[in-house]
Amino acid sequence: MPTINWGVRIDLTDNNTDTNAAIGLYSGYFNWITGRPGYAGSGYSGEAPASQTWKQGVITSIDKMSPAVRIIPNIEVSGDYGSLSGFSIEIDNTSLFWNTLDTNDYYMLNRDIDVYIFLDDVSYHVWGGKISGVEFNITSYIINCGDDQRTVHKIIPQNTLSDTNFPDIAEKAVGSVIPICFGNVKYAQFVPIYTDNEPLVLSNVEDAKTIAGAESIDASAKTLTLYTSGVDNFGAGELKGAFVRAVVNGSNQSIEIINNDQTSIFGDSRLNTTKLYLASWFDSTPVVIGSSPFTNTDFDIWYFEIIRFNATHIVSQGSIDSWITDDSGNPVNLSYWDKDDEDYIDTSEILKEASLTNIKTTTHPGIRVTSKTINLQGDLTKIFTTIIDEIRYQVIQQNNNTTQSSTFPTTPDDCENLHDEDDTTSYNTVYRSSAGTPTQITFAIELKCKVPEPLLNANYENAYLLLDFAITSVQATTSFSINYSLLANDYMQRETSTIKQKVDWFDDAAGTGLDANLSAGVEREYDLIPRIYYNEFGADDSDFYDKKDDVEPDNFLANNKVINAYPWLRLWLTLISITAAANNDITLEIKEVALIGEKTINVIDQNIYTKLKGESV
Amino acid sequence: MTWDDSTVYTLWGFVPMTRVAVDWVKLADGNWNGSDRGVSEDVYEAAIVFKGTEAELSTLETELNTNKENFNLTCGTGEEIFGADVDYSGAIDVTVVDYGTIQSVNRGVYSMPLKLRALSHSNTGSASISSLRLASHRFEPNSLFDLDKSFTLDGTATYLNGETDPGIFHGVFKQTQTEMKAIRRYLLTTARTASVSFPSFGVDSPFGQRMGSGSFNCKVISWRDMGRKNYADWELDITFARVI
Repeated sequence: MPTINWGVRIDLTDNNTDTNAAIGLYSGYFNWITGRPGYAGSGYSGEAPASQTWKQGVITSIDKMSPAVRIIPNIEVSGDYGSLSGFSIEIDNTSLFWNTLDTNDYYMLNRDIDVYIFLDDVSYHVWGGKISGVEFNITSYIINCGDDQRTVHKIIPQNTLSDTNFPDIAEKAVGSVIPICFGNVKYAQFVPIYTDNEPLVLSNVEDAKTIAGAESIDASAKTLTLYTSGVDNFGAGELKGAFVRAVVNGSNQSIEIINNDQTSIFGDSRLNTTKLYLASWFDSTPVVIGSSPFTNTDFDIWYFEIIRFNATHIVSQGSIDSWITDDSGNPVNLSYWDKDDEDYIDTSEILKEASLTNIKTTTHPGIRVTSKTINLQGDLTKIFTTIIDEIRYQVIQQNNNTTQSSTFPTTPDDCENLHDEDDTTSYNTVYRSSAGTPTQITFAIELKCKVPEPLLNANYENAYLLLDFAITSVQATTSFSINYSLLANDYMQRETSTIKQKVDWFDDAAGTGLDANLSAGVEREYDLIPRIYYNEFGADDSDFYDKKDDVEPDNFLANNKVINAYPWLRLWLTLISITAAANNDITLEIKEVALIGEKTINVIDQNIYTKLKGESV
Repeated sequence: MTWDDSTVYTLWGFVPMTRVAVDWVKLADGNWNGSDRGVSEDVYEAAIVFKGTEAELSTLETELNTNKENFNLTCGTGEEIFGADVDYSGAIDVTVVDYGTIQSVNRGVYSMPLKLRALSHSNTGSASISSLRLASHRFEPNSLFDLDKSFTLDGTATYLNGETDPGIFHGVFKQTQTEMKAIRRYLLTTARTASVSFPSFGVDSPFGQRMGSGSFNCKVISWRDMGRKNYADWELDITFARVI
């Protein structure tokens, strides 16, 4: 059974360095202890100052020593400090301790006081503060202590969510503070800052209308072709994730749109149609307008509207510990004041990190969450950006006897512009064919994660590689196909087996890759967001997009799960079947590389939480 | 008992109520310290009961009404109402601090309780505690366990040992008039807040078997004069705390 004693140390050294063993004063310090441990310069270790004598029989009953309290409640008022901790101790006054203090000018108020707990002769510092007041009677001298407010490290960010900064914020969220965690809280709460449930304009021949009738339906294919009169162009896939529902006639049923064709334009814009591909079908058969010349006069015609449910949530960017740090970045406990630390007064750091502007616009090294859609089942899909520690790049030539030109960045700084969400900054390299015609040029891009965090983990339902690059054949026309593959160095795990081989994650089967016919000096730009999956059978089951406008993927189909791929991923961009002249420069400009993870959670009747530091992908 | 130098009443019973001007505080090392305001602040009170006829008690009530403040009280042999160590050779200046009510005891006999306070007195006797004699086999030799035990909601226990384990002895003693005088003097002068040798009265392990037998130092942290049990014997309740 461990032995326990409490020690109290009061610093009077700025006023005196006296020693009076009868009252437990040693070189200007009161050292008092409960129990009878007999510490006379030795016999203990730990955080308490060493080689001290601790006076027994000064502190009265332990029952009268209130526990050191540290309470940081749920801080709902921004700018507040939360609750302060307090402490009091009662010592023996039967020998007129108060008179001894008075006679010797030992002033107690505002003195530093530290409390230690001694467990089996090992001491731990449990509380620190200042003496805030004293009182005494014929038997007891009571010392009341409290935190010194002037040494609270930083002010909690005084930011609330307003509709000025977030015009589309949900009404109930106005006035909420940005969620902050104190300590190692496993989950932090979301606050919705953007909601949009407005129906889309489906017709604008004369004036904007948000309802439209159907030209045709196909129950087996689950397609619904609406008259989007006057609407010039819903781009292909633009309506994915939105919901269509009948608002005139029909049942009150919303069905998710999983795809759509580009709007078909006709000379008479009133005949413009958009074909929708639905996730499910209506309980009863929709009544359509039909095709021109519109002979259907059924008054039970269904009219539809399309709504996109959007929600964006702001979530804690980290615990308050991450803001309350000393010069070394070590978190500091609010209730403990290190009197040697002068760093607590600076509030500029926390204000910078916690300002709304920074949270909205910067990629904080924690979590940034943007949810795009929420369906009727309450499934909220979130996209997480990655934390890539290093990006290295190398050109590897194959089947070629020409001179290669490559630059291999050796420090992470060289690759910062490949992960800065800015397409205008890039990393460039040039391959020059000095003689002959290369048949294959491979560019290897190595993505290294922050060990030991894996680049991908099993929590995600889908993972995508964001790859924006441009290729230019400088002097001569070049035609080739582009393949790309992704592999993990050590191994990649699936749910049931471990693969310890090089594996092609997404493999565009030979000959079916992206074709490039580059005219001399013409840059061809690729903005790819291929989905990463495990290609077990080697067949091309790719599901990637060649988008020119960097639209984030929103067709989230649950598929293979990739588990714990680490410590690095290597992306190979291979130009194959090249037909080009000699002495030709091929410039590869890599603009953006990222790994994106995505998962769906159900939020109906639940609070939305995320982990403290976000999840690495 | 002569009341105000004139009327004699029959004292039926009394109990001394002596309060020592010492306040005790228990220290975290298991010891006790007392704050002594001095012998001049000790309080000598007595709870007494008079018995007599209705006429006699009425006369008493009249005198109480006449002597609302202080008056002289003369105690006879066997009427050491303020304790055995008070000098009763002359009158004692007293005041009534608590008035009782006249009660009928049986046919023709009435009683009235009062609490008196001695406003000035003198003491007699030499201090000595050597004659302590336990009144019965019922006494409490104890060493307390200085442990802290706490339990979580799921029943996990935590034990912490303060390692002080103070010793306490509590007993009731029966003494003669002469012995009582000496013992009270000892308690009211020598002991008070001082650390004294634990007296010998036939108990080998006064602070429990764990602390064993031998000589100990102690402090008298409380005592109560229980008054006369009969014409010959007084009883005294004392609690000793071991000095560690």
